[in-house]
Amino acid sequence: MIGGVDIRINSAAGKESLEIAARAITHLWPDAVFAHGETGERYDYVWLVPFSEMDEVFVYRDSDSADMWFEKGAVPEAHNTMIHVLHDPGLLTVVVDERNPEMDTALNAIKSGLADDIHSICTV
Amino acid sequence: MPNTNTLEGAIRDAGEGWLIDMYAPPEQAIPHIRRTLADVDALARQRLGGNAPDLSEESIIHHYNRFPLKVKGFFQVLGGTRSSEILLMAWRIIQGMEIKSVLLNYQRQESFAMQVTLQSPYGDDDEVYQSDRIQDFAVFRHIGTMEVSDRPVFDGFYALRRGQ
Repeated sequence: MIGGVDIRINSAAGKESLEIAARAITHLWPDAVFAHGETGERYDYVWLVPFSEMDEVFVYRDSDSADMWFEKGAVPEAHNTMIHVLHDPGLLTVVVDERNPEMDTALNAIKSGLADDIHSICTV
Repeated sequence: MPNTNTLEGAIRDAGEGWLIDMYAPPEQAIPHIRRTLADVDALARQRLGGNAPDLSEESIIHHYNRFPLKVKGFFQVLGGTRSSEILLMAWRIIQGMEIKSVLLNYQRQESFAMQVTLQSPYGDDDEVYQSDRIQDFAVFRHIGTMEVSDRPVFDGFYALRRGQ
């Protein structure tokens, strides 16, 4: 992804923002695979991703897409087959190649997940 | 990332030391939690056989060091339910089982019944968990919600935050 579109979403979910986003994307891409934003380590399932230890995660449409990104980088055929998600305090940034209906479906799912107030309310 | 090697260390590192300190007497808290985990482990083996998760103390500590927020949420449920079935359900969701359906029937001052069906992402059989104890409803405080193309989804298992 060279360039791409950054979508910034306010979030009270802390580091769990990354997991919420990754899970939302898997509903669009059921065969999605994931890569640790700092180490590049790959994971085949969302629940195997150690979100607590990372500030960014890459979500690929499927294993073939991940292979393509790892081997060839941002080639034209990789267009919109990876979503990059970054966490900063109070903010989630979602980076896609291009906004289109598929990406907007993912973004809306992410926003709805982040809006769940279990991520912002505190117990005593 | 945490690097604890005891159950008490994991619970305290997670910020859930109240599980120990509020127990009466506190020195019996860890033995009680160990018995609870052993009960859940036994239930898992009975119900799931070869697919049973490892709920040994060592496994819980290992998972805590790798997935601290998930296990923090599990500790919170541990403090809120006495139901091995619901604790097993929570652990299965943490492990990736997906909530397929929820049936809830509540009649004020009369009855409570909850049935949750989990589906496996690996294609294994569905798992059904039931409770008639209203306290077990609290497990849903940890389940995320979202809408995907305007359709409802329960997804993910999250720890509640403690007040600052």
